[in-house]
Amino acid sequence: MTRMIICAVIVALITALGLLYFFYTDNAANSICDRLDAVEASFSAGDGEALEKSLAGLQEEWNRFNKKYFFIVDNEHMLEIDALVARIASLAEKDDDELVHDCRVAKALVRSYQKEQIPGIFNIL
Amino acid sequence: MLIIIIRTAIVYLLIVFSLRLMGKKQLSELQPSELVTTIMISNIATLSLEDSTSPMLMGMVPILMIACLDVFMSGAVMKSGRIRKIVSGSPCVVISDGKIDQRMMKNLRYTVDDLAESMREQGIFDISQVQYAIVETTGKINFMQKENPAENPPQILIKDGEIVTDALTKSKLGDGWLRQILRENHIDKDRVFIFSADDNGNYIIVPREYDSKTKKGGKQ
Repeated sequence: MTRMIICAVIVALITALGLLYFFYTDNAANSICDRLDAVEASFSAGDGEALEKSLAGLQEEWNRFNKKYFFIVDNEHMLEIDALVARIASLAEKDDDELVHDCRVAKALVRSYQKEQIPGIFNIL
Repeated sequence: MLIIIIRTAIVYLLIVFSLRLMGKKQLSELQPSELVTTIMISNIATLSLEDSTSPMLMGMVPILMIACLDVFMSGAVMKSGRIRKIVSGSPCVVISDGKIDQRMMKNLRYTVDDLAESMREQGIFDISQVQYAIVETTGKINFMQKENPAENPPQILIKDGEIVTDALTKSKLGDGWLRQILRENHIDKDRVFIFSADDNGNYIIVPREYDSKTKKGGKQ
């Protein structure tokens, strides 16, 4: 019986961790996408101050996600997004139009990662 | 993470089902669920060790899930005879009264060579000497030779407080005899852990739970 209780606790903990991670990923992905939108909008508007602020916000949000959840994040997208976020900052400094393209690619990758975490039938199978 | 949990559960159940589908011949000493646990845990452990780029938690979660599922499955198997039958199967008689049940052998996908090999392993070289051969849930075949005084092997008539109706129907003793013996021994069937008897009326009663007293008796 004790073994059963221990197992029930372990399963409950794993499930709780899985659910927490699922909801956190969902929120973090939405937040990162919002930051990317803000970077793109401020770049298109030519607002240097807003761009600087939104870039700092984007990097802060991304780093927080990357650092806190490195032990469960197992996806090639993550490395790609990491490189893109670094590139966006560099493109903003150079005032390069490629920034818009990179923002959209990063957003697509974040959305793709977000979708992959949904325990839908296609993801499971 | 949720995907891994669900995948683990699905793969576990799928392998148990597949092994049951493959039949007893694929198993050696382990019960199907034990074999699944062993195979899966060793494979997952190897994968998480081989791929150092993937987080360790990705290997730990499935292993924990499998271990927990195995305990839950063991609990369910202990509690329910029906689940036990589905998961572990039941012993099958392939030689009864010295006659080979060819249909059963075909169902189990046992060849004459397999049977002969198992006989030789147990020091029996003449098939005509075999009274009974039973394929256990682990896939092992046990033989009873004709020299044995009992015409039929003892059957378990009560298991965990439940009357095994199939065995009782097959035995020549009948429900009335069983109830009489229980009355004589002042024991309710719910308190019986194992009640085993042969056709000559020789029986053994093992009371349930922590009562270690074992009562033995015979035909009056």
